[in-house]
Amino acid sequence: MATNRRLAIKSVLEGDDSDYKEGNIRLLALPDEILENVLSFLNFDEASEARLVNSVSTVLNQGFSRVDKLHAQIQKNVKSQLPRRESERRNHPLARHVDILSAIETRLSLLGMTYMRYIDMGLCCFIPGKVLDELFRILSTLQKTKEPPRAHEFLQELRDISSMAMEHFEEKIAPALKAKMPAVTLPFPFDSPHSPEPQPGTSSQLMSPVLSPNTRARGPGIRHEIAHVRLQNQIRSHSALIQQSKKDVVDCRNKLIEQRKKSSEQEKKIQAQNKLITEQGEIISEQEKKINDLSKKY
Amino acid sequence: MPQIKLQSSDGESFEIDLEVARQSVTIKTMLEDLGWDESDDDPVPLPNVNAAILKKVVQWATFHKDDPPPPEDDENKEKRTDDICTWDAEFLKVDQGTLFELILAANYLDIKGLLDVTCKTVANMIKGKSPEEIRKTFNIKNDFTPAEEEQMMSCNCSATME
Repeated sequence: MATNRRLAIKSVLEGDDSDYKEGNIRLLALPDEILENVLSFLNFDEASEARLVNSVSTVLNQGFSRVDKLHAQIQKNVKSQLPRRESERRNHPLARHVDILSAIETRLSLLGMTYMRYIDMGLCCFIPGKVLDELFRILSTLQKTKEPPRAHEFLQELRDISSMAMEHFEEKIAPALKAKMPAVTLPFPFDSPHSPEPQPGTSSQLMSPVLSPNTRARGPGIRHEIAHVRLQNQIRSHSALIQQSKKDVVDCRNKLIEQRKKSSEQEKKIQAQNKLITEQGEIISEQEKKINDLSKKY
Repeated sequence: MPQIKLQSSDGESFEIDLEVARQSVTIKTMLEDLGWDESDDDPVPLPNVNAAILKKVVQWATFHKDDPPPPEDDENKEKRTDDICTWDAEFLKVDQGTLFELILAANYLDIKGLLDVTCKTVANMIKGKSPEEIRKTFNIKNDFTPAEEEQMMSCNCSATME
């Protein structure tokens, strides 16, 4: 840790940054690790206000994973103290903890579904710092108290602010981020004879030839959706084809087994016939011998 | 009381109490690893800290030499910034450049107490300010395009939601 810090400082001090050489260091010229340390003294709501530095995004994203981890840890701890019987759990002193934790779990899943896709693509960070503060407040209260308030009252603020944040994100921010998403490229073109709309060109041109100018004008988000639906249809038709082929293969295999059975029966019959022919041959040769002997005598 | 010499990046030497110097985990580890003893007269070179900053660091470490070791951080616990003692608050009434250099020095020398108090001071300069005010305070150039700025504002509204 200290070595990393030293290396970070060394690289900065020995680097080309003129700010350092002139002894005129600015806030944003400080290493990210130090900025994150500074931001760790702010709550997430205050940190989200200062979202003009990359480190803030890191702090907010880390905040979300930390709260998720803390929730999992508390939930594990609470679960370990619960009786195994469902009926006994309802009357257990930790029943409210369980209710609250499962409601938080749902909130965390909703938040994750709303933001994570864009965070993973590097298009935004976990924006609602206030939600993180509220989550940490609830979880730390839950850790301290033995009798928390009812889940409904206790989580009202969290429900309100997280719903507002998610609605705002979906309506105002996500459309702009969708436009920044990279174009869909697929590993191979779905232009087989079974494809409902055969497409010329390369795979990267997948959606363009079939879209009306009107559709195109509606932006890449819509185009993406349409391409998605079409691909789903194509995948469905391919799946049906594969199912049919599988059925054919099974039929053929059954026929083959039947044929093999017949052929082995035929082989047995041939062997029996051969045996009979050999026996007949022996009898004939014996008869011939006898005839020859008789003809010599007479 | 055994003494040790520290040498700044610009060649100035500071003779200080060993106990004061040992507040720096970097120096403490170095002395332990090198098997330093009192007879050693060679100064410890600190190539990343200049004389002016090293003087301030020594001043801080001398004042706080009897402090108990700072507690380990609990990442899930909200950290306070209103607990800076009066002496530290006076000590840190310096220009931003010096403050940031003190942060870098505290980080390099691994002096947790000094790093915490300097970072708290910067955090207090950010607290309660709008992005524009933060930019002004730290002289940060706004290099967002109008569209990005609009998106930032919309994000901030979502974050504030009040």
